[in-house]
Amino acid sequence: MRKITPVMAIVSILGLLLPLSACGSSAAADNGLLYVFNTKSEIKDGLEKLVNEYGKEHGIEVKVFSPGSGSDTVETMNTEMTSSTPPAIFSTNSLVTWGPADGDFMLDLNESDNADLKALAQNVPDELRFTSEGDENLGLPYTLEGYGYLVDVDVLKDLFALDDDKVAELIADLKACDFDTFRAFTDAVDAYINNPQAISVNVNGHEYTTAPAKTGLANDLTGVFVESGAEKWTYADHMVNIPLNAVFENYGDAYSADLDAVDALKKPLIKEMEVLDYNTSHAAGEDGPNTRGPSFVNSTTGSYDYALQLFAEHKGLFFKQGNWIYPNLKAALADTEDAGARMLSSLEILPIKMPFEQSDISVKGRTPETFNTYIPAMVPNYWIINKKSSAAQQKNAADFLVWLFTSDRGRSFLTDECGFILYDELDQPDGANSLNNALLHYASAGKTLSNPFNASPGNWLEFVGNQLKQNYMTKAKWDESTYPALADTVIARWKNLKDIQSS
Amino acid sequence: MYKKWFLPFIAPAVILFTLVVGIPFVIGVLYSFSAWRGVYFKGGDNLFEAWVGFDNYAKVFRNPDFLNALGYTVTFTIMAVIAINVFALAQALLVNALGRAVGFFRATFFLPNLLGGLALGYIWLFIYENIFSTTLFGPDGLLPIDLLTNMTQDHNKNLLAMLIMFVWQQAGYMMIIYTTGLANISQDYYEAASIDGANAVQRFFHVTVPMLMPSITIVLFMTLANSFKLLDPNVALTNGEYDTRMLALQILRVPKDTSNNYGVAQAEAVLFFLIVAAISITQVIITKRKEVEA
Repeated sequence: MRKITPVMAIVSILGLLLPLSACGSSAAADNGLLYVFNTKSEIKDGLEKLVNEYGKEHGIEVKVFSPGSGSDTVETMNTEMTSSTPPAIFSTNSLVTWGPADGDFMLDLNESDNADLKALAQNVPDELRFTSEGDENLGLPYTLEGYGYLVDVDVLKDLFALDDDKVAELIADLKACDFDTFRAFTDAVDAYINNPQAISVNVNGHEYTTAPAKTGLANDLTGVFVESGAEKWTYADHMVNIPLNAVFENYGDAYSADLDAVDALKKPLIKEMEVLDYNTSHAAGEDGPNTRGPSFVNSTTGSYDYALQLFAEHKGLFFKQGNWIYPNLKAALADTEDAGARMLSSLEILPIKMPFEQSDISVKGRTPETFNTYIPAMVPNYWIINKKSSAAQQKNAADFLVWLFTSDRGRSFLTDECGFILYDELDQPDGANSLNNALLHYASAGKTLSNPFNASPGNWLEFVGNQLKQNYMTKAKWDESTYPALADTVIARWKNLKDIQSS
Repeated sequence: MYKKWFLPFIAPAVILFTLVVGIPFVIGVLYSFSAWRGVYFKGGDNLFEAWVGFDNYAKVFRNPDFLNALGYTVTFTIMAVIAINVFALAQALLVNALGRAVGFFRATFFLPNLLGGLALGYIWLFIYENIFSTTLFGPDGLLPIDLLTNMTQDHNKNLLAMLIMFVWQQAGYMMIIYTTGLANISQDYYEAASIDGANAVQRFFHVTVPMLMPSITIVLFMTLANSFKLLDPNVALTNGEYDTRMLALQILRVPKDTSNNYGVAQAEAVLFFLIVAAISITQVIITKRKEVEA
């Protein structure tokens, strides 16, 4: 038998270890690959099917990634972006991580070799363009999203015993009225829920009187607003975006602002807290009011799905949400037949009224009236071409985007399957989706606020959400004297995170 | 022969350790001095072009999160070390005094240690949210105790929530170390003490405790290091909400907090390493000294 020497043993061990170090260095040929990294979970299945079809038709290999609902894509995205075949198309609406100043991953579509894509990009209206500064054009918008108080118009009709014309007039008045009027209106509704009797309220010069006794859907009401206390984004991201709009005109403004600009947030933020207090203390629950406390933030009874169900069951009159809930609401109403269809087809969006004074607002041209008659609208995601993917991949990506936005199959996927509002169809507010229509009415009249909250640094929004959840949503009574300190904490956090992000 | 085979035998361990721990550690320390964003270096093409010196470390201390997490971790660790030792020793004494069915009880106490990870945390979360907060200790429960309800919605109560779970999980393991230690104490000492008129309490404090010192040292530092590195229950129970982040979770969340500032995360990890290393080295030194005395 041959004797094994120590030297031989070492060599054989090294031989065993060799494969370990070999992985990760082989680059796959990606000439025929189209890799789409989508971050909108709602279109997951449809997109996968579409891209696969496209791949078969055009003889290229495809790969699609979409996250599950509510899951975080940051880590996956980081891993994929460093792999040897990074995604050729990815999606975001923020410049904070991948933008020109942070790694420079986004291709300026104005400089694309594909003339059709260039033309598509140049058609994107100015206010929807994805750009840090200057005239770069970094992506094509997925859709337009807007939010405010969604109104259950059917309930409103029963509450005030109104016919279709009259209720349209009330909606118009509510859209136009100021904060105090709206407060008087919600007070009246609240009083009526607790003690049904004829209550008169003046909205924008017109007198409206509630029905003397509860009829129809008014019987189902348990509160004025539907709230989801466990979902921090509903009172952090979207709510805090309103005061942010008093400080920053748009995304780019917030993104490139000086550190101290955010100081101006203090006064509007304090005002926002008053509104938040009112709304969450008039929340609708399953069988009665949903009061603030541990169960308000409970992950079951405070969830978005639960709130959506409450709204679908007419437990509340207003729901602070956006046009994106339409498909989910439709699903929730699927087995209610006529009533559900009626509710779906008549939904409206009201501005989130704020008790701002002119001195609270530092953006030129915006007045308290602006905030009471405009709703925030933004592009939640852009289709972006990854500059760092191979030339062949970038070419495939450009071809695909052109096909997506010009072919019948592509456009029907975007509008019919995903329910998206395309950037070149902003002037057509007459589709089947009532919430999209409501949004487009604001957009076409130019009555939209922007999305500076998307430019907030790091986990600022989560921090704001945590502060509110821990110190306010769990408490039955709020102490107004704590608002200034909260505002200071939140502003200091913004600055601190900007500091950490620098260099 | 012994000398000749030394190298081949330790080579796999050394090579693997170098590849999997050594080299990444050195790279990690270097990264903590650069503007590393996980995917790219900000302000340069490589580590050295993006070198920022101690900037990341300065940022760690300018941000209250790290120090808050450190404070929370230290508080939890002190509580956990005391509680686990008390419970483990009590269990060991009980099992030791039993005489029969020892194996059964030992296994039962040890069992929680075999489960673990996030899943266990979520099971406990369910227990805290639904059983503790309503059925058992809720306002309409069997025994209303406010302290034991909604524990995962409060900065201070959550310490207790993590403690209950962690003690339940760890005490059984530590008990095994103590039972071994107890078995090694000669009965002669107890007999001698009894003859001298010592009662049970005196026997415990003057015979059992001194003779158990080696086991106590081991358990002390194991629980110390384990509590310091605790992650899973922290993620499952509150996920850091209500200012309940411990150090491990804090470091894990830095990239998300700061839009991928992995340099700062790495700096926190290095500081974490230094703290845990200091604890471990103290442990080794003290244990060595005890061994000499014994």
